[in-house]
Amino acid sequence: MKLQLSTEITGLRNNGVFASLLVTCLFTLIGCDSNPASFQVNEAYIRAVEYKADVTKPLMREAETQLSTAQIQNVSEIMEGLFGTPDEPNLPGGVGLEDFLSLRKLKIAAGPVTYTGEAGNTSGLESGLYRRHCAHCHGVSGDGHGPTAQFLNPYPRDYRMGQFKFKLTDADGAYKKPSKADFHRTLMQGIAGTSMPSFRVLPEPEREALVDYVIYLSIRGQTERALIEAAYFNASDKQEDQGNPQKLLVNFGEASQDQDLEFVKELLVPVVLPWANGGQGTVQRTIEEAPVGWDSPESIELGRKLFYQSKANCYSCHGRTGIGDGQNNLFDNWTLEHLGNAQGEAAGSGEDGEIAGIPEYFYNSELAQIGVVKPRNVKPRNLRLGNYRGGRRPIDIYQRITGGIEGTPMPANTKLTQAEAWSLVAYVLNLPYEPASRPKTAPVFQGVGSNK
Amino acid sequence: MGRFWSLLFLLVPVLGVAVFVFAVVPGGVFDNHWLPEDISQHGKVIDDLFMFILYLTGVIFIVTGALLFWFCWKYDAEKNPEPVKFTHGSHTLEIVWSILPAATLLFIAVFQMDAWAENKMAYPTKEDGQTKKPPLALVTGRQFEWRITYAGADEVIGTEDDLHVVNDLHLPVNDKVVLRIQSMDVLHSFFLPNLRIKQDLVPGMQQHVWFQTKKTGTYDIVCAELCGWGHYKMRGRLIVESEDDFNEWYASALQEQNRTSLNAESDD
Repeated sequence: MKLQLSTEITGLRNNGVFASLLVTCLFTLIGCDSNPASFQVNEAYIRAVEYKADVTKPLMREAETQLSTAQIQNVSEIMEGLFGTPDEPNLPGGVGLEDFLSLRKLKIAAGPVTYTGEAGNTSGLESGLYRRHCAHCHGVSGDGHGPTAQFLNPYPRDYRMGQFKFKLTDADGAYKKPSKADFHRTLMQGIAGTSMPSFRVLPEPEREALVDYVIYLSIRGQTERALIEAAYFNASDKQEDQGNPQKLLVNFGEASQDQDLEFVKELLVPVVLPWANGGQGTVQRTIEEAPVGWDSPESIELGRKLFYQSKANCYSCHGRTGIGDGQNNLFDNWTLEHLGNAQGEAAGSGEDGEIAGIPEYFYNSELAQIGVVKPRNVKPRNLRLGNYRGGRRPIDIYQRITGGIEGTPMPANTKLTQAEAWSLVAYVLNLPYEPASRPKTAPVFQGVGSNK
Repeated sequence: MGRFWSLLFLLVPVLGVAVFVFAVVPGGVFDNHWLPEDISQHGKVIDDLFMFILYLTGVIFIVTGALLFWFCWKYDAEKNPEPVKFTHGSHTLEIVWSILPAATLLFIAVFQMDAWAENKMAYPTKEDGQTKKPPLALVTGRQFEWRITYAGADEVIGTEDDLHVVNDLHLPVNDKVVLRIQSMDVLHSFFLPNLRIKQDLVPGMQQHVWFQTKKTGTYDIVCAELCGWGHYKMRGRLIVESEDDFNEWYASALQEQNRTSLNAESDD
């Protein structure tokens, strides 16, 4: 009996192998058509909004006020009307987007991958660049949750918050949107120490198209967030609305449609404004020439002192020897958002890199599906490796110190004078080349046994 | 069916040779499928070795294919009702077909020795003939890019005057260049097709390659060892240029790396 059973199983398995071979052959012959790509609604943010609003509930799904399916569907429809689809991108008019973004470039970057000369390729350039080069990490929607994202540390950037770390636009302690030159630089140089490689070999027009598309995805993501917040505001309004029983943002085909769309446009304006910068796009700040002798030994020595003083306070995170072993239990903004109201209790690392205080539900696969991945602490940089994510030029380091790094606990230091900041730059750039433990003379006690 | 199968066997040498001919002949369907342009001094030796072995194996391939066809054709079951006779083989024949390939392999092993030594063992020296020539740059492969560190004026890699660039290897033409190569993460292979240079990068090992270019231009750096999902895009650019152009590029790249001011108007 036992033998018979196992034979049956073997038989089944053989059938299975045969069937899968057959299926493989079929796919090879007829090809497998998939659905056209679509932008995923920012479900992680919907949960974050619902959750934050109701701090007494331990689980996101038990939030008192939830967006209804109809409301979420409504947000998707509005978004498609404004920004189109991944195959057919669109720029909403009337808010000045076309002044600094080119729809032609967006169409080159968007869509399925086609090569020059191939059927369906009319631009004469390769198209589908974003999906070819970026989407497997950054996701079709720019959510930083493509198929390969989960294997990476740090996680790929989620553009939808519109926050970026490495740029030369921030000044006077205020974060600004990155300029196109900043994006170009990141594409050219890659980001050392992360999985972002250099795309230097791509032709210039292709890189330009990608830069426009990333800005487009960021603005799109920010708009979606604004719509979700507005939809939530509607949902939490307990009063019945006879004319709008489902509390939709835009009632398509109803009398109020135009008025509703006008409201959406008002939401769009503050999103676009910081990117547009009067229609020319953001520009990099001015950094005055470093004072003469900024990298002299005296300046480096001053930088060393500043490193440990409260004025700069570098050591508290980057550690006493600059190897990044100071405060290690903080999170970046992208993670904090997923942590919702757990962020207060989240501070504090447990053993073995486990993060104490984060409820177990943050690891579940359902949340991982919508892009809420296992939270990781943001690690202060080890300054002795000579590995600079945002670039190794003195102006890059100067910018990180005086402009901060948006989305991370690295603050913009506005207390240092220009000369002091440059001394700190000199010290930081010198760190990889100086020994971590400087030889010290043995302590000499007066009157006990001096060498002199 | 009968002899149809033997004709099928005949297709193997015929198609094999056809593909080869199409690849070599310029302007055909397989244009640009033969060896990439050789811009190195030593490349001819490698190419000649390649061609020698290709012709050798090519002849054996054709002869074997033809014999296979001929036997299939001649001894087709339908035409040969007489049953086969089994023999216990020929001692002489076995000795011949053992010694012949062994001698051939031994010949190739000896024949290529200079090429191997030249490329893998004869580390270039400075003009004095005694001191080793220091590497011009360190090329670090990582998923999925090439990070390049020029040793700078002090000719030592890892010092403050190093120049760091990504995917952009500039070399002076006609110069004997030594590169130190390493991997930061997994197995890669540093491949310069136009210079006939290919060397696996083993994590934890530092290796050196050397070559002499003879033509300016822009060429590829590619990875020749499957290193992950992004292997296909692990491409860099090799620019071989005149000594003056190289020095000019080097100076400007170094100036950019040491940049201490930023003008809002400048688009870097």
